[in-house]
Amino acid sequence: MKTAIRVLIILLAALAVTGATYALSQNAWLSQQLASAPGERGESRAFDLRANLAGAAQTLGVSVEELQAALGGMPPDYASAAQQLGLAEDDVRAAVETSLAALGEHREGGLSGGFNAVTLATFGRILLPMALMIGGVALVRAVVERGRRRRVQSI
Amino acid sequence: MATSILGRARSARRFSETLKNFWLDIVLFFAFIIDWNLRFTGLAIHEWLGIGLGVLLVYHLLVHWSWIVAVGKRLAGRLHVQERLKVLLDILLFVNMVILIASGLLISEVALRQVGIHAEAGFVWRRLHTLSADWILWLMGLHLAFNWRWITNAFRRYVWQPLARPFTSH
Repeated sequence: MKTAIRVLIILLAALAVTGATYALSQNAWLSQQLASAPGERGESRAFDLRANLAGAAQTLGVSVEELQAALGGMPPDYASAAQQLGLAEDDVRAAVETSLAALGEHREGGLSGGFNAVTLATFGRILLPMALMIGGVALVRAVVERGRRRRVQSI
Repeated sequence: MATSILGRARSARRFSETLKNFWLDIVLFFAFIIDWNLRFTGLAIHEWLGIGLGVLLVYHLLVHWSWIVAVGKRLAGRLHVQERLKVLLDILLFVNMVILIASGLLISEVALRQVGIHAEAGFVWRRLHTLSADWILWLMGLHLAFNWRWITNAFRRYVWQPLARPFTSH
C-alpha cells in the first residue's frame, strides 16, 4: 500500500511537469524560441521551416512558397493554412509533420541499428559530457578541500 | 547474544539493499547510454527501452524514497550547500527526464502504435524531445559527479574486491 502511494506521488509529479510543459508549449513566443534553439544532436542551426517543407508541399499539391506563406512563422498555424489552401487541417498537419520527421531522420543518416563508426562515435559523444562533469566536480572538490585544509593549518 | 544476532541480520539486509541498489544503477546507466544512441538501437528498441527506462526510473526513486523525504523535510531549515545543490540538480534531472519520456511517448511512431495508441503530437514535442535528450547528458553527468564517492566505494566493494580476492588471499 505504501509503495502504491509512493508510485502515485511520483506519477502525479510527472503529470504536473508534463502538464506545465504542455501549457508552456502553447505560448507562441516559447515555440518560436524552441524552433531556433540549438539542438538536433548538437548541430547549432536555426530551424528553417521553408527548407523542410518540400515533401509536404508535394504531398499536398501546392508550391513550397504557398505552403510556407500559409503556415506563417513558427509554430505553424495549421488551421489558418488549411483555410487558405482549401485543404483539410488534418491533411496539412500530417503532411508537414511527416516532412519534418522524415527530414530529421534523413539528417540523422537514417535509423539503421548496429555497431558502426557512427554509432561508436555517438557513444563517445554521450560519455564525453558526463566525463567532463565528473572531472570538473572532482577538481572543484579537490580545490575546496585543499583551501579548507590550508585554512585549518593556518589557524 | 540476541542483540548481536539481530544486529548482524540488520546489517546483512542493508548490505543486500545496497548491492541491489548498485546493480540497479548499473543497469539504469547502461540502458540509458544504449537508448540515447538511436542509430545503434533503431527506432523500435529505442522506444521500448525508453519506456522501460521510465519504469526503472520510478523504481530508482522508490529505492531512494527515504533520502528524498529526509532531505525534503530539511530543505526549509539547515542543509549543507552541497546537499542543496544536489537537491536542485536532482529536481532538474527529474523534470528533464519526465519531459524526455513524456515527449517520447507523444511522438512515438512504433511502440505505442503496436499497442493500438496513435499519438499525434506536434513539432514542439519533437523539439522538446531532442533538446531534453541533449540537456540530460550534462545533468546526468552532474548527478554522477555528485554521487561519485558512493559509486566508487560500491564498485570497489562489490566488483573490484571480489574479483581481486583470489589474487590477494594467501
